Order: sequence, then structure tokens, then C-alpha cells
Amino acid sequence: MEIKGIKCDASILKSMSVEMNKQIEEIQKSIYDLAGEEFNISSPKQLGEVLFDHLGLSHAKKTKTGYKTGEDILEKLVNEHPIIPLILEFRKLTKLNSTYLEGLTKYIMPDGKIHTIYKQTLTRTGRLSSVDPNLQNIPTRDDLGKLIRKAFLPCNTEFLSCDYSQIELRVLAHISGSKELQGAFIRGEDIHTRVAADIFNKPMSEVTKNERRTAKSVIFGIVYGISGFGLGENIGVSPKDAKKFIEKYFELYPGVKDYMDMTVKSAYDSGSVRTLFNRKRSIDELFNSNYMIRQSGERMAMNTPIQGSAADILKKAMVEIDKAFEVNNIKSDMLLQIHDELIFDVVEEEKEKVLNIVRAIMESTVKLDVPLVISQDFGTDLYETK
Amino acid sequence: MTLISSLFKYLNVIINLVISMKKMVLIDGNNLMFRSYFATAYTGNLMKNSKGLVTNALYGFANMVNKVIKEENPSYILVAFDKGKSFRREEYKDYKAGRNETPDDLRTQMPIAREMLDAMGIKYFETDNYEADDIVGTVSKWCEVDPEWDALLVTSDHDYLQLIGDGVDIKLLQTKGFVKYNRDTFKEAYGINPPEVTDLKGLMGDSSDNIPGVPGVGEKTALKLLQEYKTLDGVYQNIDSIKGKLKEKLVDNKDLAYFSKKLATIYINVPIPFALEDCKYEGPTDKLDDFYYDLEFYSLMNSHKVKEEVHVDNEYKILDDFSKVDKERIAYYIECDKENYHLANIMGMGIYDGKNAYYVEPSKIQDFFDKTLDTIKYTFDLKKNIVLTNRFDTNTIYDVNLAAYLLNKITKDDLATLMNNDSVSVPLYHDIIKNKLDIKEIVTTKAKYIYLTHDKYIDDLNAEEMFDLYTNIEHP
Repeated sequence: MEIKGIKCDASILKSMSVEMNKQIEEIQKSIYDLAGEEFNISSPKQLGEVLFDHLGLSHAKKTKTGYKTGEDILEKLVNEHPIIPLILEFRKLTKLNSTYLEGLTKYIMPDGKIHTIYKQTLTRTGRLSSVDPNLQNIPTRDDLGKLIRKAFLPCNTEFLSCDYSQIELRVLAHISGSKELQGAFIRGEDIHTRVAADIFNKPMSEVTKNERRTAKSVIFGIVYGISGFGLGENIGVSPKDAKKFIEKYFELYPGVKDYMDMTVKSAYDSGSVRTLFNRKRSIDELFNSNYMIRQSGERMAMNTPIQGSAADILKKAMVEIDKAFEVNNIKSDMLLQIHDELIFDVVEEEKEKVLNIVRAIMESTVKLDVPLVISQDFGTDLYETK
Repeated sequence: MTLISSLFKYLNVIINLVISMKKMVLIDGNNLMFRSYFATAYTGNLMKNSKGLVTNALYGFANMVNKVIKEENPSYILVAFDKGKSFRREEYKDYKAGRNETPDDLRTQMPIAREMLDAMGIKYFETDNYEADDIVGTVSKWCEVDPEWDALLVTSDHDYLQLIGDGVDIKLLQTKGFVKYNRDTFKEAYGINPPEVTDLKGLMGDSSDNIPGVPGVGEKTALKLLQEYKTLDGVYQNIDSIKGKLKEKLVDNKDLAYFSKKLATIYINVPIPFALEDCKYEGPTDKLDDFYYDLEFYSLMNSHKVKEEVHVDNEYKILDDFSKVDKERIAYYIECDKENYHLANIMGMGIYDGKNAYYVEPSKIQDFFDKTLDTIKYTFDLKKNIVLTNRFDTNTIYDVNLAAYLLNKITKDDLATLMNNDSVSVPLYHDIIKNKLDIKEIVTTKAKYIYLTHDKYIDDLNAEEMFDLYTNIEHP
């Protein structure tokens, strides 16, 4: 995969960059107008002075180095002054520009492709990481950021993306043995709507979008072991209310709570946790005298078997797909791995065949108590794909 | 009279030339240990040796001290530590009240730091109810009044700035790097003289030590006042020239200001039972390597101590005739000149066949693999080697990088890390590139290590029941 590389069109990135620079300049001008002065918006020190000294907005803490101007602080001030949303936009655009548009361009090699390096020995969970450049965090949700994906093009006919839907939750359902959770997956229900329906005590058909989103955050929060405070910040409720959500969830899905408790206990006993394929992760944090560090160790203990097993499954699928391609003389290439997703560069005649092979392997590489569901999409560039 | 004064001047110059200045480095031991501890404690993954002893602060401390020795080349060193409850706490029970308690993991390392200094041949001192500051303060004053002696204070604590004087400089450690001040450069930077730092603290206080100062007076105001009136006394003598709220605050808190100044003043008359000459530094004792060995600070050791299983001597031959190589199994290690191997060039390869180690030149590498298609091979970072050689047929069935990863060992993409932790000394990749080291001995030693430790790693994988994980998932 690394040797193959993925084709990336520098000119597309360039024209996007030019566009974006234009936008950035316009925003900059508006910011200067509203502030009544010119200053270096990217300097937190100067920004702090302008916002809190000159414009007199309410500020949070002042540290030795100046006012804090992090995104969380600015988000709270959004309604106080029209300059704030502009500054947030400015930051977003400059980051997109430098990290992705300009950042990616410098990794395009003479063959017109980007050859990332997958680090196989970096993470503590067993996941792969991608560096130089990191192709695993190209924006997918943000409308503007997504456009960057247009620069990635197939060398064959088109891209195929195959992605495990909610693999971590399914792994959780399997490992924990929670009958309620497993039931939802076996019945083919949308898990977030299901959980929302249970937490808010209403039929699935009446769950609102917001409620579903809340339920989703609660579920992921639990998988990653975040606290009531962290969850509250995420979904915009008080830590107390957030904690209630978490408790309700555990009430409805006792299998999950039992599993979490057992895993943490066993981690304290043996100093480590294991994934489905027996990958071992030692967690020294559990034996630290610092409470916060121990807590983070407990979160790792709960999360690693889930995330690590998901990583194991995907790695196993990759190995089998590679073998199957060889056996079947497939000319299409497996190009990228993005955590739960695989991207292929497909030759026209092989479309059906490749899809069938990949789906079959991904679905059956491991037999869990719940089905593994794959979603897929074809596309002429990475933007069009999913 | 002018003749005599110029004669004196002449004599002075001669005397200064003849008497070589004695250079004393004074180190705040508590400060360095704390810095060193917190520098790496945030990851939650504290450095330990195989007996479970936490060693992160000691490692950083050793490095810091060694660095000072290398940079300053002192002939005299003294490290000062806090002991017991500071006398300041008795006068003001809230002194340093805001501070968190020393973490246990740091506390356990403190006594060992003293042992390490003994092994390093460095004198240290501590005495009841005095802080390291006071000890350093006292000794630095000795150096100040004695024209034969120069002192350099090493710490990150700003309180020490008041000790700068004639022949007493400070190396103030910062987050990255340091800044050096002498009397003149300090005056330039702050606009006040070093002793007036106590007046400064008297006015602005010090939140980290919980010294109150005058409420509402910060560094800027305090510096302005002192630049104008020189000292606390000067300020209060001229209090009527000061206007408004500031005057009010100063008047209301006059006692507090003087008390704060007192708290901030480093004591310079600590009873010290030895003389400057007793702090002579003559290099490490011969116990130091053993000390490092127990702590498993292999990279600091001068000689290598090698465990029985992995005895690696560094002989090798240049490979010219492939038929000489044992064809059954070999280990190979390829070194390239950049971290991103898509862009790198091969610098050379080392191989070991169980009996002999050979160095293979870059131009001969492809040929070598062509002629050894059936030979089973072991290596480090197979993925990198596949890209570098652009071949998938090397018949490599074992990659120590992956094996070590599964066994939760730290590899950092550099085989040297694994080897050093296994007490086989070999330079780090960064050093190789930075210092342009000759790699022939390095790559052959690495290949040897890979070969000799294969069985142990496989045994460990089996013991942890991860052999299948390795063979079926990670390696392919």
C-alpha cells in the first residue's frame, strides 16, 4: 500500500488554496474593520489584547502568557460580538489551508502520488497510525474540509470504500455479552436510535435528531470511559445531567456495566488487558499514586479491548483480502486504511468481483455474536466516495 | 602617587593572571529533581527499572548534572538540598502553602539522588530547617567576598537572582534552554540590582512561594517603583511623591511589604561544616557505572555491561563471496539515511549467519538477496526493508520490531533503543545521522543482536500467547 501510494493532484490543491486564501483575506479584512485596527490574528497574545482589552469582551482566565483564546473560550462568546464567529472561521480556514492544502502538497512525490508511512508499532491499542503525511485524518464531515478529498484520484477506474459500521459497538456487544445490546444489532436496528429510545423512554419512531445525537455521544463516551463532566461538555448539558444519562444507560444495559467493572478489576490484578486476538497492553498508569493518572489508566483498560479488537479485526481482514487478491489475480489495489475503513483503487472490469471479495472477507473474518455490517461506496475521486 | 597607583594596577593584573580563578558550581538539587520529575511525569508512563523502581527524575537529574559539567567544566561542585521544615514556615505558616504535596514517586527517588551524587564524585549538603536556597546563598557569599573564587548558580528558581554578585553569576534554567546573568546583564534586563530582588518580592509577592507582597502590586508596578526609588526603604521615604490608589495600598500594607521582603530574602549564614576547597570535583568514582547499571541507565554508562544471553562482540568482515555465508538462516539489518524511507538511500547492510558477521555494500545488496532466496531471514522493520529493497521475496519470517511491539517493549522505530535496554550498547539512529558515524560495525552488531535474540523473543511471544497474533496478523 505504501509503495503503491495514492494519486493526489497538486493543481487541485493549489486552486483550492488560492480560493481559500482569498476567503481568508476577506475575513481578515472584516475582522480588522470590526476591531477598528489591524493585528496578527494568529497571535493569541495580540488577539487576547484586542478582544479583552480593546473591545472589552468578558474574559476567562489570564495566564502568565496572556489571555486564553482557545476555541472553547471563543465558542462561549459567540453571541457577544460579531467578530467572534469571524475569528473562529479565520482559524478554521488557516488551519485547513496550512495543514491540508499546503501541507499535503509538499508530500506529493515525483510520481504524482502521496506515499504515507503506516506505523505498525506506535499505538498502544494496536491501531495503525499514518504519518508523513497523516492520511487518516483528512476531513470527512466538514463541508469545506471535505472538498480536499477531491484532490485524491484513482489510478485505475474508481475508488471503492468499505467501512465497518459501528464496529467498536458491535465488539462491545460481543465482548460484554450484553443481551440487550446484542439484540439491537441482531434485529438490525439503528443502534443510536435504539439507545435514544431506551434512554428517553419513547418508541424508536419518535426519537428526534437531537436525542439520537445525544445518545450517540453517551454511547461513545462510555466506550471511551469519559466522565460525566467530559460528556456534559460534549453534549452541552450539566455534568449532573450527563451523569444521569450514563447511569440510565448502564441501567438499561447492565451487561455493559458488568463488563466494564470486570475488565477494570482484572486490569488491576494483572496489570494489563487483552483484545480478542490476545494482544496484550500493559497499563502502568493503574499503579500510579496520582488519582487522575489512575483514572486515565482505567479508561484505557475499558477502551483498549474494544478499540484493539476492532484494530485486530481490520488487520486480519487486510491480510486475507491481500491473499484473496493474489489468488484471484486481481489487478485492483488496496490503497488506504483509515481506522475502520479500507479504500481500494478498482479496475472497471473487476468492480463486482472486488466488492464481493472484500465484503465477504470483512463480514466473516471473525465470527462474533453480532453480525458485522459493511457499508460501501464507489466514487470517481475520494470526495465522491462516501 | 600616580606612579604607585599604576604599579598597584600592574601588580593586580599579574596577580589575577597568576591566580587561576577557582570555579564553583552551586546546584539546587531539589529544584533539578522536581524539574526532572515533572518533565516526564505527565505522560503517566513513568520510567522504571526492571525491579519496579521509579527512576524518571534520577535519569533527568543525571543528564542535567552531566550537561552542566560538560558545559561549565567546573573544578568545584556543590549540590544543595532542602531538609526538614523550612524556618520560614515557622515564621509564616502559609509559606509555600499553595503547593501540592511531593508525589510519592518523586519522594522515593530523593535519597537515591544523594547516593548517585556520591557515585558521581560530587559533594552535596543539606541541613535541618534550611532550604537549598540558603545553603547556596551562604556558599555563594563566600565566593563573592573571596577574589580567588567565582561561582555559578544553577537553578530555575527566580529567587536566586538576588544572589548575583561580584564573581557570582547565575545560569537560570528555563523551559527550553537557559539564560545566564551576571551583575551587569541582570541590571540591563531588569533595571534593578540583584539585592533589590528582595525588595521586588516584598512589593509584588511570589505566588509560587505564597509570599503575599502588597496586594494589587504586580511586577510592572514594582519594577517601576524600584527603578525610581531603588529599595523598599527608598519607596517609603518618598511615599508622598507617590499618588493615588498606589500610595494607599503601599501605606496600608507597609508591614506586609517588609515581612514579604524578609521571607523572600535568602539566608546567607547557614552553619556549614566544610570549606570551599572541600567541594573539589575530580570526576566520577569507579562505582558510577555499577550505579547506572542498577538503575538501568545504560545509555549513561561508559563501558558496556553485557548480560550472559546476549554477548555481542563487534567483529565483522566485508562480504565479497556469498558462498561463504551459512545458507540456512541469517539476520540482516539495513541502515538508510532518512527517517522517511520512501525518500531515503540505503547506507549499508549488516548480516549475521550464526557464526560470522558480514558487512554488505549497498551495490551488492540486490545481488545478495537474489542468491539467498531460500534462506530464512530475520530482520528489524521488515516493512521499511521491503520499500528500501523494493522486493517481497526476501523470505523474511521474523521482524523483531513487531515482536517487541507485541511484548509492550518500547522501540521508537530504532533498534538501538531495544538493544540499549537489553544492555547492548549501540549508538542511536539520530546520533548516527547527526555525527555521520561509520555504520559498518553498527549494522553488523545490530544484525547479530537480531539473530541471537530471536529465540528469546519467540519464547516470550509464546509465553504471552501472542505467537499466533504475530504470525497470522501482524507479520503478514
